[in-house]
Amino acid sequence: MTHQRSDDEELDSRLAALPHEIPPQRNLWPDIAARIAAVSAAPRADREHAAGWRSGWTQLAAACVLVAVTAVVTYQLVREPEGTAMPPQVAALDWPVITTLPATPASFGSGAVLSPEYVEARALLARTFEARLADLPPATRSKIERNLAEIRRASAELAAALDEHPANSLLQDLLVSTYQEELALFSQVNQVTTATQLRNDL
Amino acid sequence: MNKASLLLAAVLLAPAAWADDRIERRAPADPEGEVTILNVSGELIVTGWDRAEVEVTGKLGRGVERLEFGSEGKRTIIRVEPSNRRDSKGSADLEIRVPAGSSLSTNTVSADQRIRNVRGLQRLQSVSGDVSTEAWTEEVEIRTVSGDVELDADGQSTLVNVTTVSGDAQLSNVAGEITINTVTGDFEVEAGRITRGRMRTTNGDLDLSATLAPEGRLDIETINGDLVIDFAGPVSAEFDIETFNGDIENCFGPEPVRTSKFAPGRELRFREGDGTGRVRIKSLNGGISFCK
Repeated sequence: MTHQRSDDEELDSRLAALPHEIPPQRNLWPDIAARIAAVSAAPRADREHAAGWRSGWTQLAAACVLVAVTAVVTYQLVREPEGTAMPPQVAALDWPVITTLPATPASFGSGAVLSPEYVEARALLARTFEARLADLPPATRSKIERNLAEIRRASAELAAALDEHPANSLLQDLLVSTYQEELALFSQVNQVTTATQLRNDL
Repeated sequence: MNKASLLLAAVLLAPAAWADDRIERRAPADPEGEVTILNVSGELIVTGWDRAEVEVTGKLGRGVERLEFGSEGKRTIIRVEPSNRRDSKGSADLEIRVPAGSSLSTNTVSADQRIRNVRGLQRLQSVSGDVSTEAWTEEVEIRTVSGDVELDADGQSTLVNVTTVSGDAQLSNVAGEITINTVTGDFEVEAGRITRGRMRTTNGDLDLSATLAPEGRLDIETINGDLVIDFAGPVSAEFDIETFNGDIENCFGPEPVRTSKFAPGRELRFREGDGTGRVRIKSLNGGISFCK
């Protein structure tokens, strides 16, 4: 016990001697601001092009989003307390390729793993969403596509910031919420359109 | 065909011949039963009354195949079926009276909904139609894609859940547990006493006026939307506010501080009063302003 306490005290002492903050070798914020500005200033034509999201590129984007969403959500579910993290199964993720936005790599730290169940569930939601979207009036469809683009633009902004501040819990929380927002959008469109068009059980 | 379907079939209104005709039908209904209404486009007005029956009046447009209206036990169903089910053009203007204690479930595509004096649980859904209703003591859940929402409550504690994609919302005199979620819709919430509030916007702005219950919880997140919060009455809560790149303006509590020398973020953590409640606000770029 005494030996253990001595080890602990030595460890405490060494921890206390560590610097409380390690400044980066350069100021990172200008790069982050530039990326966010680039996202916000994306040409309108490019944004409108995103409306054609059922194109092959967009399907690819959806697949990439799928992987990223899965990783982040699972990360939130399985992340370990600091200092006890398991060796990373997926340490860094390729950011979803969104037609309107530059692809940006993002890392969510260690402990991120993919859940096949989640991948499957999200793919199902997305397939239904695409089908429902096609049945909606053009004006409504356009609004939904614009809002989906807004969500993805927000995700990209968060990813750009998180890329520079991977340990920032605020950014992590907001990114997960934004991914959940996308799923909620899929789900909501599926729900409100299904009930009117397909309810034969009544 | 099950029993319910048979009952419904017995009261099916004739198709086609009713195009552009007025309708008027009644059926007995449980005073606290469930009423389900499905209409694609046109208008839907639902009013609670003190009779144990449901009355449907209105006009069916040309694109309507038929109107189903029937009941079994506690359940009443009113369904406008367009002639081409993938072409949602069947328009019907319906004015429906239901027992005031009914639970109500509606679903429309472009039809606007106006609900009055329905005091049971309400689940109202619309794609692009606007929804206007009142809240009493029972739960109200409203979901739209682009439709705007107007909810006028009587100040009693209840559960309110409003979700839009781009629709704006105006909630008045709500109290109890309030959940709102939007992507780009702007929300104005004038609330009484909130015991629990969960609010999230991506780009929409939120203007909230509320009294926080002594042990109330308020969780708000935004990405780019601006938040303006006005606390009415005394506030007793732990505040935990953080923004990555937005501004924080507060009329009480200490000044916000930078989260790091190397990032633009600001945070504000303090206790107000006894700190029995909790207020947590997170933002990426959206500005946060709160006063009391």
